Amino acid sequence: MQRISLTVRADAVEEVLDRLLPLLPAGVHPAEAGEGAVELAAYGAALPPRAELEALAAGALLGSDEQEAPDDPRERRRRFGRSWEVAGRLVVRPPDAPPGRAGLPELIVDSPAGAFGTGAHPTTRMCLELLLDLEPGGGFADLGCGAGVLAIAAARLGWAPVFAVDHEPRSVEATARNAERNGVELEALRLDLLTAPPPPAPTLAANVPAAIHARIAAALAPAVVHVIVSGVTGSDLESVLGAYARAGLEPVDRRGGAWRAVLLERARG
Amino acid sequence: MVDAAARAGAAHGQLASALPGGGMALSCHKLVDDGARVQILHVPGLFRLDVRPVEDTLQVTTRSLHAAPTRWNTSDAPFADYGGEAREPSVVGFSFVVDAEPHPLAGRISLASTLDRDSGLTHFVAHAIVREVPRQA
Repeated sequence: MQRISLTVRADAVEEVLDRLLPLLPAGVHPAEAGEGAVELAAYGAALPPRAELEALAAGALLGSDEQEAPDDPRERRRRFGRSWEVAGRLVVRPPDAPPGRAGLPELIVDSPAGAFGTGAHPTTRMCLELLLDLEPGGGFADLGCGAGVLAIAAARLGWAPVFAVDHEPRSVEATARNAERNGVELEALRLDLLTAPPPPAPTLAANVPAAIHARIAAALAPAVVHVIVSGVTGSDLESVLGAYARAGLEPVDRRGGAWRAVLLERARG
Repeated sequence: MVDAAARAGAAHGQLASALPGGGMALSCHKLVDDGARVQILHVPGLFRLDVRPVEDTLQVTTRSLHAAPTRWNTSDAPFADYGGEAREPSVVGFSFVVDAEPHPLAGRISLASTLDRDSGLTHFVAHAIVREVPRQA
């Protein structure tokens, strides 16, 4: 199988995709490629010639590349997985991806069976940004932990004890493996947040759908001081924030575009 | 428009046919890799619908390709089911109206998907109907 990638100007991506996607039944994998640039990688056994694809991106093209790629999609994800730098302070990457910028601490997170939260999704990175801005201390709970990246980051930064919960067994297993891989201590538990309250901790991160936020907010203990809220889009955000406001938490920091992440803090007094 | 859709979608497995009384029906199915943005329906000069599954979430992009203004709507709770256990397909609905002359065009789209977490692939089935809407006198 071939892999052909085009790096194009970010402001021209949609126009380039208008020309590329009709020719590529398996589509393209978009990825940020530095300031103002996006890489569009196509995989296939019978891709159009590289020169033809380059011509379709003419005017927006910044570079291109062509190489062999494994047929197995899991192998492709491992080989072409990338590292994500968060706020210039932390790198998240799958085990086989090249190391990030020298000198930055790394979280190595694998997701062999589809657990969410490897850093590929913008909500994970926004939650990490908000977490990095908090003063570490006391207990932390990652609600809907997926592959466990937020819990592992919290443990690495100094929160303790750290809980990581998810209703999917494969996510709990992935989190436990990733914690061991990163040499941090945490407790990974299977928990259905629709029916059970969050573990007791003053700092929570919940990167979950809006319906689950409503249940978390309704079950919130008075000892909770900070909640990092994500997993919601702009259309759901105000109702989610309203549920937390009824529990006494107000927004103090906001991130995001289509997807949102908000740091909530318990109002004083 | 039916012939153009059939030609444009042939490489994607998209089927397009005329409907009795005017309008057309479209359908397409694909198996999509995690992180890939893929065209799932395309009518040249009218619209394109792209899907992009990323981990537990689904991004759907609607592209309006007609010169006249197009209004898109989604069903009430469009993406709540995506990424859950694969007991039944997650289904989301879209509709659009193009203020074309002499008659507006109205479309309804149904998009079903099932995520296979072991492989990281998502099955998609998309079906659409597009019809002219007579203007009220």
